[in-house]
Amino acid sequence: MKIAELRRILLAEDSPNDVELTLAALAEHRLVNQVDVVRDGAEALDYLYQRNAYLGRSGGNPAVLLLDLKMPKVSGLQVLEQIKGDPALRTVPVVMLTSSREEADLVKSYELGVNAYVVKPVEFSDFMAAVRQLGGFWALVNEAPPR
Amino acid sequence: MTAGPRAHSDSLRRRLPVLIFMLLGLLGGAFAWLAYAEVQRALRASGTERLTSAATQVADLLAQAARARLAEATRLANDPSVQAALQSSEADEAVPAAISALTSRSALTSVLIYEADGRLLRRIGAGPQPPGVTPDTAPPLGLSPLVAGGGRVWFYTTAALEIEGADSRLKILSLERPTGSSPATGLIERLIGSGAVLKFGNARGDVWTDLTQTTAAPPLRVPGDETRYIAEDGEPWIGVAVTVPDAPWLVWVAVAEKTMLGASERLIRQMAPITLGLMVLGAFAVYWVSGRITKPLVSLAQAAEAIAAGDYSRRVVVERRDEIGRLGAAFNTMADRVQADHELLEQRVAERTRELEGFSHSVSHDLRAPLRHIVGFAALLEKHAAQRLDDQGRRYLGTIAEAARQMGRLVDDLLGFSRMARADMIQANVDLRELVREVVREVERESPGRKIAWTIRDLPVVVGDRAMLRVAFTNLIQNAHKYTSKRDVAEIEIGMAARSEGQHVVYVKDNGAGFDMTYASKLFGVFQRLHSVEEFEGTGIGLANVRRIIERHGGRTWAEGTVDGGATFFVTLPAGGGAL
Repeated sequence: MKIAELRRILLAEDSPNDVELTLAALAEHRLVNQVDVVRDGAEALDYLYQRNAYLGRSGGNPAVLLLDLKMPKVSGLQVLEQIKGDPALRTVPVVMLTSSREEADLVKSYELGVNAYVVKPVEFSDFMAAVRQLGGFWALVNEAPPR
Repeated sequence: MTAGPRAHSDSLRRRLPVLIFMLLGLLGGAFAWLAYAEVQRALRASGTERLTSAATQVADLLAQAARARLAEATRLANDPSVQAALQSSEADEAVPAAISALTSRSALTSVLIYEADGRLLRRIGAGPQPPGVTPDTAPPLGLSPLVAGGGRVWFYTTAALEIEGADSRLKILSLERPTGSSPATGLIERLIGSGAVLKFGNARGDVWTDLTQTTAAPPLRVPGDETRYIAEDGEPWIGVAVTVPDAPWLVWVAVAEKTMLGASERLIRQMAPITLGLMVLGAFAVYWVSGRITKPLVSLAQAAEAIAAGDYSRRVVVERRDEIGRLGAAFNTMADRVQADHELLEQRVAERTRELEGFSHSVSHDLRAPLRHIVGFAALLEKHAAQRLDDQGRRYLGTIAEAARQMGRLVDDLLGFSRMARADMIQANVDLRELVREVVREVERESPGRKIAWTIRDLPVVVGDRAMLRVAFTNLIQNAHKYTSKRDVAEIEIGMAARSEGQHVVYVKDNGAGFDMTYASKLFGVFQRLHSVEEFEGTGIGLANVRRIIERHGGRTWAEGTVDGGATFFVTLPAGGGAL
């Protein structure tokens, strides 16, 4: 399997610390080269719609979108709503990554059609395991929808 | 709610008509009694007046008759034929003959002649001889007092005899009996009514007659005044005495009080049914009027109770413009204000809740993220630089990570605690016996190998939110479990202490580390701990959660214990079992 054939993983996360920790976890699976990082919801939508800064980027929809719930400008929930309401993007698997245990967020996310909802554990080893499994499952195991 | 109808004896609606009716009855009774007394008084006055006037008329008749007798005696005494007969030798025959020639009256019985000094000179019988009544000394001129004798009553009419040529003055006396003349009796009956008694006697009181025979003297006092007395028949009678003009006699007329006041008894008999009828009508009227007064009050009370029970939209219908109508209008205004205030309060509570939710949302995200970073980078650092760090450096890294983890737990607990305050409660009957068994099984599963003697006594059914109560009892039982961990055999007992005013008191008792009662007030505070983390792990949120949950159920929490002597935690919860 060639790396180039693999689809990208999009990580939408405003906290550089979290980006670094997430990337460190994904590095365990050698998935780090597939990861594109955006810093807020607006950028995530630009990436998905291939507009503005991402005009003419290569590749199609990502294999999975790891979406932080709380971000500046456009929040994770708004991005989720946009994706699941758009026939062209609806099939992109979205995994909500959040610090929050708020039940309201969980309920709202599932109502909007999220594919998975993960509360980031404080314990780093748990966090590592979670991110690893997510990246591994969605990027390597899961059969992506046809382009 | 159990706001059923309270004891109806307290109801104004029932008491008001009774009160007014009693008042009416009292007034009616008083009025009837006053009327009766007034009628009696009037009847007595008019009866006495009639008695007096009848007696006066009889006395006048008697006086008239007496004057005629006196005139007759004077005429006889001065008649020449009588004087001649008196002086003749054959006086005993001549005098009656002369007298009977001059008068037709046969009532005359005897003629007595006295000397001027009063000595009886001779007695000339003109009729039946009355035994033992002839006076030995001459009676005074004119009419004499009555004299009794032979079952009859007599009197003398005395006139002076002046015979020319005679040696001394003489007197002529006629002895006559007063008859029970039927005209007099008839007159009395006409004047007073049947049943009246007429008596006639001496003013000095010694001889009395009812005009046919002698009788006892009546119980008279002063002539002209009425006298009330008990007669021989045991009934009260009323009598009046009147002086006979120009004679030493009295006339006495009496009648039974019953006869005199008979009209008042008839009045009472006629008034009673009318009064009763009026009172029955009054009762209906009073019931209707008090219903009109109390009906708006009852609806006002019901509306107030409804509002007290939480139905803030309840109002009363104001139909009247009087004080009760104003009361209703004022009540409605007040209810409007209460409703507005209530809604404002609800709105503010909702705002605060939203703010709090936002706050805890932020805390959840923003406080946890740096902690995660600390732990994460400490782990990365350890991995990255483990070789270059000495033991002390590695220990520092471990401490940094552990401190961050502890703070993560605190944040989670705090969020759980604030969630407990906001969560909606679903009220239901909760069987504590079942719930406690469930929790005990769970706690036991988490710690196989420990020796615990559980005692679960009879536990009640309470009203509450099952999930919340489960959290509360899990905390209490886990606490007992935790603080008995240093005992060889832990003893944990869950039971019911008492029940009062609809509240059950449930306790969880252990033989664990206990606590100093001095710090009992701190037990239920947030993050308050009486033991170090090294000794017994935990954040100190458990009992604060218990208190918050129990308070949201309207109950209380407290604890008793001694250092190293175990602890007992008490909670009260509303009794359940009824329909919800």
